[in-house]
Amino acid sequence: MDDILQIFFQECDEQLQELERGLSALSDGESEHETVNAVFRAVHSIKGGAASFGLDNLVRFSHVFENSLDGLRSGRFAPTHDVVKTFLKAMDVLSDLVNEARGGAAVDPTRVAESHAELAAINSIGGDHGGAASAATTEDVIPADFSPVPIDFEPVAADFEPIPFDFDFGEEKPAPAAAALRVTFHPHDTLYERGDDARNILIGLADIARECGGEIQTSCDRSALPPLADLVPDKSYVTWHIVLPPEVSEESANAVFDWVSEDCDFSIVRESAEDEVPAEQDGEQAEPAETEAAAAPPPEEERTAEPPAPESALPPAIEALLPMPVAAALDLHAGSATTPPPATGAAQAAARKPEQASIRVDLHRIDDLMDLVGELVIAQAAIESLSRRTDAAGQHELVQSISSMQSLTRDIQDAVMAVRAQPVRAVFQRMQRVVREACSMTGKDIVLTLEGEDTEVDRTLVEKLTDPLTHMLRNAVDHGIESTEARIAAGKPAEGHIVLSAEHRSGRILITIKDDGAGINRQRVFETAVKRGIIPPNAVLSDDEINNLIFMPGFSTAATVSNLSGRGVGMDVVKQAIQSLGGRITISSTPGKGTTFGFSLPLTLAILDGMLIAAGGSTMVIPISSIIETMIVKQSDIYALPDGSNVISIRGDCMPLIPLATALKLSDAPPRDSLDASIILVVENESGARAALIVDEIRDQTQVVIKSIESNYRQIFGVSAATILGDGSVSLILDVSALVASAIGHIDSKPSNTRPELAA
Amino acid sequence: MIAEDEAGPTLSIAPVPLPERLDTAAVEALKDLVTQAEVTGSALDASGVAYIGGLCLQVLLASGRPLVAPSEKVREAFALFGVSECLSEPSTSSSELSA
Repeated sequence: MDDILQIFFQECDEQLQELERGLSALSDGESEHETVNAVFRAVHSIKGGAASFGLDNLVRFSHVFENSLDGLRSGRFAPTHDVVKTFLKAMDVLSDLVNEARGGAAVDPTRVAESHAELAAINSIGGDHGGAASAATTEDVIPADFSPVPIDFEPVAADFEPIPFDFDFGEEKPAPAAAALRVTFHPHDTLYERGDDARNILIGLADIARECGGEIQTSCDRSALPPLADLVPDKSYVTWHIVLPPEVSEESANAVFDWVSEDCDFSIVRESAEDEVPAEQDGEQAEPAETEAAAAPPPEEERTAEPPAPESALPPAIEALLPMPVAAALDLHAGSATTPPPATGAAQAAARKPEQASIRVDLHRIDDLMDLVGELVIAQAAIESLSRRTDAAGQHELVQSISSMQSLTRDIQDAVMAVRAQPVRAVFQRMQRVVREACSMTGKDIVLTLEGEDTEVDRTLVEKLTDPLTHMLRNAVDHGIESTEARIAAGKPAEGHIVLSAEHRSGRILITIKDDGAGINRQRVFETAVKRGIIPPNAVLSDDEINNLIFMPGFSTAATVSNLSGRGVGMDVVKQAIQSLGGRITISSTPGKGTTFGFSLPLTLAILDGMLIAAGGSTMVIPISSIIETMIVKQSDIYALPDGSNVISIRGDCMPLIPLATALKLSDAPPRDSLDASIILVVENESGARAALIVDEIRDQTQVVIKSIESNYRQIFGVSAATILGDGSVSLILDVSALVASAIGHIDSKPSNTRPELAA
Repeated sequence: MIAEDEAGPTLSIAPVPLPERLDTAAVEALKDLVTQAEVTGSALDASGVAYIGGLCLQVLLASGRPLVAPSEKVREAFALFGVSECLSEPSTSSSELSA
């Protein structure tokens, strides 16, 4: 039972994502039928699953939600801004209710009630369908005279097939026949053992009846019920006969039994109410084909009063097809109570083993990986046989073979990375909610636009991004965007705008949060920093350094501490979180125009491509991604500056020249009289600032496995991590950004947004 | 509900109050309760019941003890289970179920 419940929650997560996506699309003005349907389907699925598990709160709320969505679907009202907003709010409540059902924090009932009322209110916009609205408001009581959604009943002429594939949809065209749908249902003891209840099934049937504008007639067959003294309390005795309105399709009736098909006997028969020809369908959820079969008229058709559709119009081919599977299905199910059911729908659902941490991977990625592993096995066999040869040619081939294996290893690494890669969408979509909540707390009207949600990153990163992004977005809402009045006064649109985007850039992922607010008030930041003793009053700081002050611990300019931010924790926590992921934060801010925060993060935390270089007698690794070019300099390109440092002009571009050994204070660095003919690497940090590093030698290019130096030793300036080389020696991986930043610190010649490290 | 041996209205003993949730977990306790009520001849007070599951329904149906003052939820549940006629007075509400 727990297993199935886990699957249900997993699916809930997916449905909620789907819902979020759909509602976002709606709010962007895409009100196509399919979008509305997707939204409706998501809520409907959650409701259906929840009903099977007796999660009453969830069922109740999703039911009201669904009702309102149905109004949208049937065109009773348009997806206006306010309507979508209400839906978004309801979605948040729904996701909290899911979380509650999962054992999370309880949801504040007033919030549920509020959203409940709002949903009911928009539903009543539909005018003459006040019945629906009042139904929604009266808590969980839905009057039987509940007057439902108008569904187009236009008879389907030639096109008989009573199988709308997406059964929970508006386009579902109920067979125009007058025959009611008769459901006979007897729960097994196991149904109750699993924690389910016959009640839920009946509710489910009543729901679908109501969706079609009718109600169910239930009768209870108590003939098998013994006197109380003989009654075994947890044994199931009674059987129910339910008559559903003719408009209800067999598929939707079948769907009610989706979760319980193995735990009850049920039959669903289309016939006129007087006739009773139960097609016994024991304990097995029909697969789509079988569903179809069960839906089709039973073989005893001749006896039943009326075929459900203008059969004359039916092409003979279909006619021939239809009754066949019925017989097959019945055969299949006869007596299957004793035999294990074949692997159909429900059985498959049970077979999906839930795992606490699992990812969904495209099959082709796994296939690619498998292919590569096959190649690897072959390559290994080749090397083995070559290594037994002693002749020179064999040696040569061996070297070749090893290098091809090298590229194979790299391909495998890429393939594994691809398996672990996940789009940042999951995190980004969560941010919509963060912004919505922050907006409602601050009373601002802000739209969050997502860009590049499909950008893929390692899953460890995806998970760890949530907290920093939440902080940053709250901050953007609270401090970044001005109040509506201030915006109007400044001649901006009243609605604030935040763009959250992700992109790949030179082997890293760049996430930017851009708001169109007032920008950082540097004067105020400076004053606050002085007041809080972060900097001395006489400090002379560049604009960029002032911007970076907001990342100092204990810094907050907010006059009052709000729920959202202002306690002075947060930005420094964000910075730490990003740095611990090997990332950096950049800020650029234009007064009156807005602020842009950039996170630059490595794609993976495990392996990097590096260039092995020697400087000051040590072998070190520089990430290839940050190296632009390598060259041998001419003395004529080098210009000395008064402070003793040098700049080099490369094709007209001036950049600081950093003798690496000196910069890292390697003691045995031999002083060089002339820089002529020395080897330089032109390196670049994320924001595009460049510097030239002088090294003694370029040794090799290799992939290295990153080992944290901070966790094993401590942080060292200019070093981001360490690695172990092929010969077993430890080598340091240089932190190019820090080196560039420190070089620019000496030569203040670059645009303001190039200094992630603050020397305050 | 149909009283078999004892006539409901002439009961001298106070009705036995039923628990709020009559779900699967409560069925054993309910059976004991109902058996006792049968012995003492008392009716069952359903005014505080908010939820009735299928198994508890069976116990109530099998006992035939009269239900006193059924709550709205009980009426709905009985309607849903198609056994409204088992409540002594006709159901006044047209409500059919609780979703």
